[in-house]
Amino acid sequence: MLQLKNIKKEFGPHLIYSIDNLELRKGIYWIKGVNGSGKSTFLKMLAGMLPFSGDIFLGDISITKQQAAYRRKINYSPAEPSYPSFIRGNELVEFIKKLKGGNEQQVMKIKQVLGIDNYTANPTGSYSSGMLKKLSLLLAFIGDPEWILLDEPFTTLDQTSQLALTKLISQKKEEGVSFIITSHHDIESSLIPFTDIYVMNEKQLLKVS
Amino acid sequence: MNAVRHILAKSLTAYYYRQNAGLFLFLFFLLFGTQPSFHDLVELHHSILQSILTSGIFFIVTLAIWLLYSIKVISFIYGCCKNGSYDFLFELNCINKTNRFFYLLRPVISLLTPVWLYGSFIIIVGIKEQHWQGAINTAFAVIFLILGITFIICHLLQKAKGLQQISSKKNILSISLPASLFKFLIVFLFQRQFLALLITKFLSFFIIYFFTRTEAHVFEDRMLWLIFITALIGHSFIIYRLLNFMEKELSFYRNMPVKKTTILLSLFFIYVILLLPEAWALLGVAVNQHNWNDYWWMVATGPFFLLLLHSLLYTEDLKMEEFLKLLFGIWIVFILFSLSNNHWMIPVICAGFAVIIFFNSYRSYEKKTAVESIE
Repeated sequence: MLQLKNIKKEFGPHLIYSIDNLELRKGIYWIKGVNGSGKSTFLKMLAGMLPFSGDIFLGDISITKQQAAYRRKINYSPAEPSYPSFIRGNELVEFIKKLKGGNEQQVMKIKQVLGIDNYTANPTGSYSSGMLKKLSLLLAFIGDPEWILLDEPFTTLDQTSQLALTKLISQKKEEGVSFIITSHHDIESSLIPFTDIYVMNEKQLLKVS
Repeated sequence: MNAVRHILAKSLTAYYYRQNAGLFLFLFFLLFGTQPSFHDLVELHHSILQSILTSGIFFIVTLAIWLLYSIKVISFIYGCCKNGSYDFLFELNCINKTNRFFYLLRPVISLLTPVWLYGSFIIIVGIKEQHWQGAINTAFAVIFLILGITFIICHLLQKAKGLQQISSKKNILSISLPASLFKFLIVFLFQRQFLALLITKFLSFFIIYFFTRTEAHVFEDRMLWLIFITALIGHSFIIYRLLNFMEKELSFYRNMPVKKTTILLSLFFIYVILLLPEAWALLGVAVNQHNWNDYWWMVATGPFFLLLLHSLLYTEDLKMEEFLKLLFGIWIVFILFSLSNNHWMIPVICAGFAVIIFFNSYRSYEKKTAVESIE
């Protein structure tokens, strides 16, 4: 279970959102919200990439007290991934594998589902936005995460890849992995069985179903 | 090599040295290229090392230079941490602090190579000549810098992302200047390239300043031209970054109804401002050496020379390595020009070629994406 306690996120004097108490049990969650409502900031905060006041617990692991253990259990794919143009995709895969504890078999399986071919042997500067997105999704699925945070995962993906991603999410859910997905577009609920849907509105995270 | 070490070496160490190749070339020339013979070079450095070992003031000056360099390294890493394309480095936070520290120690040692290498020579000379206190102080300073920077970088990796916040402070430049290419370039140079600019100007200014103030009977104007042209070449990495900034972040500007003359003039005035310290340092040529002609030719050469380097970058999408080769060629050519007595030719040639090349190549320039074949 992911538990957020007395969360407050501010950028300088601007309050982005305030969440008193939120408990997310295992499942797949969709966070909606208009542009600039704070969805990406929320995911980055959960991923441990942005500071905030309050605390987040993954089971009994606290993000503030057991920083490394927490981050090993939570993977993140950004909305607009970018990497140094001279680094090869395969080097990033090896890097994440080493830190998150994945293996080659797992990588090959994810690559196969997402339809990633040998282009990861090239520097990322040569990738299209769709290829970059697939690489970032591949990296987010490596290791043994309990939660995977996907920021606008369907943006820039073609229809075949979108279907492949929903298949991968369902597969991982069967294995016990939970997801938080943000999107301001409508996602076909029949494709992904959402546990709950939240909306980021008026600096609050409100449950809508 | 371990995948983590490999990616840290490639994305931090190699990238840093590639990005600052111009600066290192310039420093290398200053430290090892100005002496007529190898024997003189050894003598010079031996006396510098002895001074550092025996004089407290010299040691403090050395420490100050090392600190300045360390700030440059930290600022580079900090820039990476703030850059979205380096977000993958934050995955290092999922390993424990000790492992993270040791993973980062190696790139820090590589980044501080100029410091520990020169430091080692100081220590060796100190031990050989029994300046124990100086050698111990140097060793402590180097170790302190390496460990301190690694610690700071560990901390930055945890916190720097949080510094990508909306700043409520208004920038002085943004208030006082109307929005224009000139303003964007000024802000880029004086805010985002501040440290690189500071180091370049510091070195370039002082070497010219001290040389122009040598006594008249030993003053050699050809040597001053050599130093001046080298100092201008030292600005090349700033020009390279400026062009990259224009073509990446200001790429929209190519869609604006702006005349090429306006762009060229904006660049010219940027380089005039950039070279104001050197223009002041060169006053020594006029005041101490009573050579007003050379003073004016040098003052005119500066911005036109930088403009020429900038224009040359538009002829092709050059990588840093290719740009360095080109710089070396230009350096040789202009050194040869400076040997002639007609120094007025130098600014005229620079200005003429800068304008012709800029007008012919600006619109046809295209940034290429490096696509390497699948291995």
